[in-house]
Amino acid sequence: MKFSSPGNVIRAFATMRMGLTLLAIIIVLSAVGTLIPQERDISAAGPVLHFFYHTLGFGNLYHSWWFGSLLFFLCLNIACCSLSRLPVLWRDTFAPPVWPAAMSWQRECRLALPPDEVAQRMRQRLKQSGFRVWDIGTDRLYARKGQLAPWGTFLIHASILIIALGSFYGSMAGFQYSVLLAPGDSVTIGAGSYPAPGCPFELRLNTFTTELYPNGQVSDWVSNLTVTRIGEDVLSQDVKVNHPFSYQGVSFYQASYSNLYEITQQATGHNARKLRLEEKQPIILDDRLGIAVVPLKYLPDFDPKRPMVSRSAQPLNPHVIYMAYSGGRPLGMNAVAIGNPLSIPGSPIELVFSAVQEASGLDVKHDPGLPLVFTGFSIMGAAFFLSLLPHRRVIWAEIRPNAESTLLVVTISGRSQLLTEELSLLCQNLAN
Amino acid sequence: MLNQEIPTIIAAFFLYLIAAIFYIGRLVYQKQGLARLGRWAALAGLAANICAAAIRTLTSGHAPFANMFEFGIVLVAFVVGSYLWVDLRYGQPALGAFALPLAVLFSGVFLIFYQEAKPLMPALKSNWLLAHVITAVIAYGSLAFSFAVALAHRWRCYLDARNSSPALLSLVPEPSVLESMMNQSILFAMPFLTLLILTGAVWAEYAWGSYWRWDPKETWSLITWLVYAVYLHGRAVYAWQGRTAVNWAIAGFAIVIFTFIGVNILLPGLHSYAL
Repeated sequence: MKFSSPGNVIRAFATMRMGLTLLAIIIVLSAVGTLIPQERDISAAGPVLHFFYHTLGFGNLYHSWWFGSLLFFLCLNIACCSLSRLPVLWRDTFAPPVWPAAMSWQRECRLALPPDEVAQRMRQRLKQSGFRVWDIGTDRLYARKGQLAPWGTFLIHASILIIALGSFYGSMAGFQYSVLLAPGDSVTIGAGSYPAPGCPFELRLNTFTTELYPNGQVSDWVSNLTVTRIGEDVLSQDVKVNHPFSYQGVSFYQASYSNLYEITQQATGHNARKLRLEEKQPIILDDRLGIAVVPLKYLPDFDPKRPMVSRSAQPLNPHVIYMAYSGGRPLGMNAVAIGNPLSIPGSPIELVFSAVQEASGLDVKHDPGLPLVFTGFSIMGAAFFLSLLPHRRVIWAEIRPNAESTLLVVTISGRSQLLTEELSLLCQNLAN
Repeated sequence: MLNQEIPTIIAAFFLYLIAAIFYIGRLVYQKQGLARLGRWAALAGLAANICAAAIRTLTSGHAPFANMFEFGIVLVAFVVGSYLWVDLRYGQPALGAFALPLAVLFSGVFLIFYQEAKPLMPALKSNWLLAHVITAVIAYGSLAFSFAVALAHRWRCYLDARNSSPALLSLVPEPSVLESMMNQSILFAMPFLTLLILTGAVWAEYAWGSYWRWDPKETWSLITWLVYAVYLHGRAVYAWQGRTAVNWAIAGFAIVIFTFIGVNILLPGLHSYAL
C-alpha cells in the first residue's frame, strides 16, 4: 500500500498489524523500563549518561513523551479497529436473516418423517441449544446464536480506551503529593498550585499511633484527622493503610511515617532560631565550608554499648543519631542526647535537638478521572467473561420433501473448531 | 497437629515426585497400568498439600495468601487439582508426565521460600487480598497447566517427526487435541489474569493512593497480559496454529514465571513483601 494519500495512511494505521507492532514495541520498552532504575539522581554521572537518562528520557521512561505517544497511538489504533468492526458486529447481531445467493450444503440427512415434522423438530432442537430461529418461507430455516461473545471482545477494547481516557484526564486535572504531619499540625488542602473543587479546607492531624500485634509486629498506622473550615471542625476520621479518607474529592492515604526533629540553632551574638527537620534532611550550618548535620535516627532508649539499637520503646535515654559533614565530606556518625548542645568543629553555630515527634506521612490525592478508570475496570472484567461465551454460529437449513422421506440439507458457519461435530449431533438428534 | 506443617508439605512434595515418576515411567516403559499408580500418588500428594494449606490457615489466622510460600502451596494444589480433573474428565494421563514434574518443581521452589506463619502486615490487611490472590491462583495455575500441555504438544510433535512406535504414540494425545486443550486453558486464564491486574490496581488505589505506578511487579504483570493478548490476536486474526501458537504459549509462561518469581528476586518494588 502506498502512503500517497491521507486516507491510505489512516487505513494502514488502523490495521491489526500496526496494533500488534505497537504492542510489541510497548512490551519491549516496558521491560526495559524495569531494568533501568527510574527517576534517580544521576547528577554525579557523565554527559553520555545524562543524555541517555534525561534528554532521551530513559530515566523516566513511562512518563517520557515518546512512551506516551506510543500508548496514544495504540489507543488510536484500538479505537479505529474497534470502530471499523462495529458495523459488522451490529449487522451480525441485529440484522434480519441473510440467505446467501449460492449455498454449498455441508450435510444432508434423510429422515423418514413428513416435512412439517422435520421443520418442527429442527426448530425445537435449535431453540433448545440456544439458537434464535427464523422461518424463511415454508421450507427454509435460519438460526444463529453466540451474539454476545463478539460484543465481549468489542467491550474489552472499549474499556481500554475508557481507562486510558480516565487516567489521562486524572493526570491533567488532578494532583498527588505527600505531606508529613506531626500531631497538632495543620495543612491547607486544595489551594495554591493544587486547586480542587469544594476547596480549600484545613486538615489537622490530631493523633498518630502505631498499633502492634502481641508479637511486636506492626499491625497498623492510624492517623486521626479533622477537617476544619473557617476555624470550625467539620468532621473527624481515622485513616489507616488500606482505609483512605475522602473529603470534597480529595483523598488522604496513610503512606509512610517518619520522625520530625525540632532543632534550636544558636550562633554567638544571635537570637536562637527554631526549625523542624525531617529524618535524613540536612541542616546546613555553613554553606561555604560545607558544614552540615543530618539526623538519621531517633533512639528513645539509647545504649552506648549498642549505639544503633534502642533498648526499649520508652524514652528513658532519648538520643539522636546524626551524621556531620565538613568540607562536604562525612565526619562520621555520632549520637547526641535530646536537649544537649551539639557543635561541629569549624562552625560557630551550636545545635540542640530539643524534641522528636513521630510524624505521619500522608498522600494527598485528587483524581477526577478515577470514576472513569474504575468504570473501565468493571467493563473490562465483565467483558472478558462475556467473550468466553460460545462464539457466533449461523445455521441455514432447507427441507426438501421426497416421496417417502424428507431430505434436510444444512450448513453451519462460525469460528469454532467443533462446528462439524455440532452439526452431526444436531442431525442425529433429529431422527430421535 | 499444628507443628506438622513442614512434614506435611514435604510429604506432598515427595508424593508429587512419586506421581511424576509413575507418569513418566508409563511413557518410557509404555505400561498403561502405571497411570493408575500415578493418579493415586498425585491424589495423595494433593490431599497432603491441601492439609498443609489448612494447617497454615489455622496457625496464621488468615487465608494462606500472605507470602510466596503460602501462595505457592495453593498454586501447586490448583495445578495438580486441574490436572486430575482433566484426567478424570477426558482421560489424559499422558499430561501427568508434564503437569506433575511442574508441580514437583514448583513445590521445591516454594519450599525454598518457606516462611513461618506471621500476622498480616498493614498493607495486606484488606479484603482485596482474597480477590487478588484467588484470581492469581486461577490465572497462573491455568497458565501453568497450558504450559504443561504445550510441552506435551512439543514432545508429541518430536515423536511424530522421529516416526516413533505406534505403541508410544497411542499413549500421547494427538497434537490437535493438545493444542486445543492448551488454547482452552489460556482462554480460561485470560479473564482471571485480567481480574488479577484489575484487583491489584484497585487495591493499590486504596492502599497506596495510586492504581498504577509502573512498579516492576505491575509492569511485568502488564507485559504478561500483553504477551497473551498478542497470542489471542495471533490466533483470532492470523490463525496461528501448531508450533507458532505453542511456542508463544511457552514463552508466555516463561514471562509469567519471571513476573511471579523473578521480579520479586531481581526487581524489588512496592510488591516486595511477597518474598
